[in-house]
Amino acid sequence: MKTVFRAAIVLVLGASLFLVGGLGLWDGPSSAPPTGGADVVVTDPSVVLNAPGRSLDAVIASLQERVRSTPGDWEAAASLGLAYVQQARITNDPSLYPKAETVLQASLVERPESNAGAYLGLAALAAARHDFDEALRFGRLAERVNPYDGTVHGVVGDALLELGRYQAAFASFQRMVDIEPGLSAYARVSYARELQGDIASATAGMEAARGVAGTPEGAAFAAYQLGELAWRSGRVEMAARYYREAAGHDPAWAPPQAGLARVAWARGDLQAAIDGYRDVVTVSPLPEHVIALGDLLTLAGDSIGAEQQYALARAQADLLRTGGVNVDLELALFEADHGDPARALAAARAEWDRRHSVHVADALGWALLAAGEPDRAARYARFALSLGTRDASFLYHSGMIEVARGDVVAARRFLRAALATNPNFSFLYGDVARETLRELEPVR
Amino acid sequence: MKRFVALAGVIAAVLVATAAPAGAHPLGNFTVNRATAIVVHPGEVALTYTIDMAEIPTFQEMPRIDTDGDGSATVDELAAWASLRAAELLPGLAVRVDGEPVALGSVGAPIAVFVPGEGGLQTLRLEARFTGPIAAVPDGGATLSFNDETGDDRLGWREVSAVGDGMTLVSSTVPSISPSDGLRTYPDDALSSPPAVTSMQVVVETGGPALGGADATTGSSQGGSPIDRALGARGGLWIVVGLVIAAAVGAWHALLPGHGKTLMAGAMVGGGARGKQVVVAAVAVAAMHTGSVLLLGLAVVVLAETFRPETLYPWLGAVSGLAAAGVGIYLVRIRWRAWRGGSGHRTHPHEHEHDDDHAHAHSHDALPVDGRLGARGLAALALAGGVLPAPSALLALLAAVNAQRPAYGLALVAAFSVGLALSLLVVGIGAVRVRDALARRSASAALVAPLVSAAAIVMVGAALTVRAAFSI
Repeated sequence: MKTVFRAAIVLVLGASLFLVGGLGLWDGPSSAPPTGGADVVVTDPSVVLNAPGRSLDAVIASLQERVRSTPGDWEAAASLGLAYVQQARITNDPSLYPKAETVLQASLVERPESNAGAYLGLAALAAARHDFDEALRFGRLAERVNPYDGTVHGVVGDALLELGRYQAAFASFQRMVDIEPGLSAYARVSYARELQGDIASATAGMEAARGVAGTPEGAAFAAYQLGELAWRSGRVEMAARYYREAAGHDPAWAPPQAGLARVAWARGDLQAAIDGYRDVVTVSPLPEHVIALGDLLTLAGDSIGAEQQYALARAQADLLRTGGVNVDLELALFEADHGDPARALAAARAEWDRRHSVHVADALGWALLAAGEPDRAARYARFALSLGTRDASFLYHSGMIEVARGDVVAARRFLRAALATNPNFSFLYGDVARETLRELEPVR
Repeated sequence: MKRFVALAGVIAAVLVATAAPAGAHPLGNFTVNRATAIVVHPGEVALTYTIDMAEIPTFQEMPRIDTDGDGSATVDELAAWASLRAAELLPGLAVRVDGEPVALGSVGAPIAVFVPGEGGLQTLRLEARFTGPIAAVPDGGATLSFNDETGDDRLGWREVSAVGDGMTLVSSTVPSISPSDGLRTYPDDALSSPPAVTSMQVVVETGGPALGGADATTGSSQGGSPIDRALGARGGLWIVVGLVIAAAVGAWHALLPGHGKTLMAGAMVGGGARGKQVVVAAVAVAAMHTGSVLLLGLAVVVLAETFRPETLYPWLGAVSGLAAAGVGIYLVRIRWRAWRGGSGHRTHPHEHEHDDDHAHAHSHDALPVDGRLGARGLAALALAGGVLPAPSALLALLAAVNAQRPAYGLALVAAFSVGLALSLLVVGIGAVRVRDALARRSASAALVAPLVSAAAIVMVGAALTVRAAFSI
């Protein structure tokens, strides 16, 4: 009897080990190809490989050729991986992420130690997938190997920024400018200044970036960011000029077209805005564009069309999550605005557990208000404004939270500031802000 | 289970080298991929335009397909959409001979099919054919050009291929064979970017070999018998490799937890089987499994829009579990008696053949009193072990059907089942051997082992049933 049991136990153990081993082997390829997607990291100017006069396509083609002809060239493989990540940020083609991962891992296999290029690429890849802890980890590894590379500090700074460690992030950006002044560095400095509410310096920084852009993509990027700065400070016509300039540099790039559609809306031409966004979501169906189109259709009274776009945005978010991209921040804002306060709150809380950035604080505050907790919401709304960021959306959220708390004076102050900063800050909530403010004005 | 489905996806991709994607779209779920296959016949140019839309563009297209807005696309709606799309494409397909535009016209009904994609979303494949007359080619040849002016600049793979049929194409700027097999396989190469070819130019000369059956009409895999297409298109060696892999995966599948293996071994020991019966049982399970895969595959293909196989899995799992538990309970009852009789009276277990008759009259042919599985028991065992189709086999079948190689799909499933049967056979014979060895060593083991096995079957059956019930 004992022997039977012993034999059975040995058999079972052997079989389970075999299975675990086998599944482990199989699991490799099945978990390998997560696809990435939407990118909110606006600090990265997408032109780490800023080879003058050569578009990123050409850079990628020559690196592909190089890696193919010289398989052991781990540096070329690492550069190619990084270039893929950059390309993905421009084209929003998520299928580039698995490719990037493949060549970066291959580079690491070839050279497992002190491979700064591969660390850098993996950091950029992690950031693109919104895994900022991982991005920082790889960024630090790259920094240890190669502290005199400006790009490394840029990528480390990006991760720190998204994690809410602002002073350290700004210091990294400063090191980047010191070592390697250029489009990437200037663009990051510009964003740091904008976050601190200094729009004039931010604009100057981005102007400097535009001045040194060496590729059409780089020039388009800088011009678009200038357009965004103008737009976010309520200067519609200036924004329109910059968007047109960006579109001229890179006609196939969707963001400037979206900018021009927003301009059309601000000028009162709703139909042109809808047509513009339809074109944008055909070429680049990112959730942010899809939601914008949904909002515009809502304004036009086409609730069925709007629901279709919102459903697409939800499907997108699911696909991104399946592909290993964290979309909690975007989801929280979307659900707080469009329907499900409980989901919004859960997503915002999850993201806040990961990182304490002003954007996450804003989303959590807004979600808490939607969930009926204005007092706690106010704490996070204050955090969101703690850097001095002049973001009309943050200010509007703060204002509505104060309305719910009954602090009329504070509410008035926030809503006025929101509308003064950018009267066109939202397709849906601009009128709400104006209406609320009118109701709050003392009766004369 | 999720992991297992992912695993099955990988296996399916390996199995059917020709498959359209069953999981995530290989080029990313934003893409709209397009291929133009041109065949130059004497006096006519034929063009097949294929579009493979990944999840997101398909989702975006749905309002145009589901014209009655009821949330689902019927076969008629899909066909209407396909015709509409073909009509939209037509003006953008610019074929010129020596600079003169060729008047193209639609040929036949365009084909549109949904293919399950990632995240519960669909992908969509459209194949439209066009032809146009061309004048007799003068000596020295004529220049034929194609330019895709359909004006769709969404991300995606874009290729053009051109081949002559009774005509010779000289200095073509594009390959004669589609690099992606008509958007069925995308090379998985991290070192290349998808092609962005939207035009071609070639010098056409009269004369040349006729195209073989498969490519004669459109340059894609139309015509020829299904088996020719299945076996001819990929080359014999790859077919064989695919079949061998399928058999190997089948064998592997039998060894996965919660499947035929435990049942088989248990039933053989518990059922007192001999060699021949092991073979019969293994074949029965494999046959049941084949039938189950084919039926489910058929349901998926025929009821594409309304039927989701994953909803059926828990129910099949429950059936499988209940059948297993049933087999187990029968065997336990038999063996319990045998053991009590055996240890209590120290008599030969075969004595009970007679005095058990009255107690088991109702189950006589299912389980003869010596504990062997009769016809009904065998059927129950086959049901338990085979009714739940392996997702990998199902995916392989669907992928092959989708790649218009149904015969290959059937062959793959058959090979899979052969592997399954062989694996079960080995397990079953091994179990019988072990049992016999034990029986030689001790009489009580000869009685206990079958009882333990039978009890194990009951537990496995119960576990399968409970698990399935929770996911229903």
